Amino acid sequence: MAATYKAIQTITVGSGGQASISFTSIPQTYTDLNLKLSLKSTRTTDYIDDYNLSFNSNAANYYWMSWTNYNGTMRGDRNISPYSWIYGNAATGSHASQTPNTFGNADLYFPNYTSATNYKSGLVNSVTEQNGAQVWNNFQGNLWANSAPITSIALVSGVGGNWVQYSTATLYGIKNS
Amino acid sequence: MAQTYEVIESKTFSAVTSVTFTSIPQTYTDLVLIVNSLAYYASTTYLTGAIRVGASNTLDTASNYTDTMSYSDGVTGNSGSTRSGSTTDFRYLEIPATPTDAGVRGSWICHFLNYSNSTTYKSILFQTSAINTANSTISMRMGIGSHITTDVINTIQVKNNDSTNFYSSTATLYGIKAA
Repeated sequence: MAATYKAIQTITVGSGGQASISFTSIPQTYTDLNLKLSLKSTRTTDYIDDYNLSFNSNAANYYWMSWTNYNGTMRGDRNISPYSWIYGNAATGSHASQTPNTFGNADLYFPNYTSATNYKSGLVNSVTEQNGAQVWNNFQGNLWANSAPITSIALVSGVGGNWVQYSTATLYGIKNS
Repeated sequence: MAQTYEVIESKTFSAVTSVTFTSIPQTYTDLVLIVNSLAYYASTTYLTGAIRVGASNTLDTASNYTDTMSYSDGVTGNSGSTRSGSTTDFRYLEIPATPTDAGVRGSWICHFLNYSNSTTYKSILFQTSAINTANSTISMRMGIGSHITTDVINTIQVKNNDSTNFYSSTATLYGIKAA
């Protein structure tokens, strides 16, 4: 049987950081995409940050999300649409109470990303922790209300900071045949 | 390096209320099922999706299923958790439904762990998203289930418990090897 789960690209942020992590010219030869993230930003004002994900440089209000989350003491849910990106949890690098070397993790799955006729739905699980008082998880369903095939993915910090060194993002392609 | 994630079978289906994988090889450790689906219905809504499993190419229709889920309900804006016990299938999955093809598909990811052993009950992990274009909302569900038999799993059925037809949907079953 054919191997079907392959790494398309891994991006590791170098010293000095970078504002955006971008996958471009994504091959259209797979069926689904799986994106795995380990992120920390330079945000200094909170325990957690968000990653803002957009497809094909499309920053208009085409993104829908619904999630349930929990921070150890409080559970919440939210439905947002339309919005300008998909977001989830990332760690912050410089908050006074942040434990060093803690990165937020996320697993994102996007089926049928090459379709030119259907909107793209996705599923996300993400978590970040301060290794102390604050732990956040986010279980999310989302939709990019655009029928264009996904050819690029960009990730920026929710507060506009940089991704710090050793943040990583790996994009996998999965075939159904 | 050995390849450990392989396609077992992929199905594209329309005008049916269910689709079934049979004769699933017992040579993997875990299974992953990916479903991208839409159902036709008179109004735009979410419908109840379900999974049934079986051995010897025979679906288990007895009350041998339990599942528990957390959800964020896009319609009401509420979240919560609930449990179902002694049912005849795993029934906390969802399917988007529209009167005609509105260009949306819901997504399922389902993990069947240690499916080929004959000594323990089988666990399933699932996460689903369903889209309602009428009010621009998404319903997300995440849960676990247990099949209360020690039968190996060689049959998996994806079904619409509201008995309307799927439309232009896909389901792919992958096998994962531990070694």
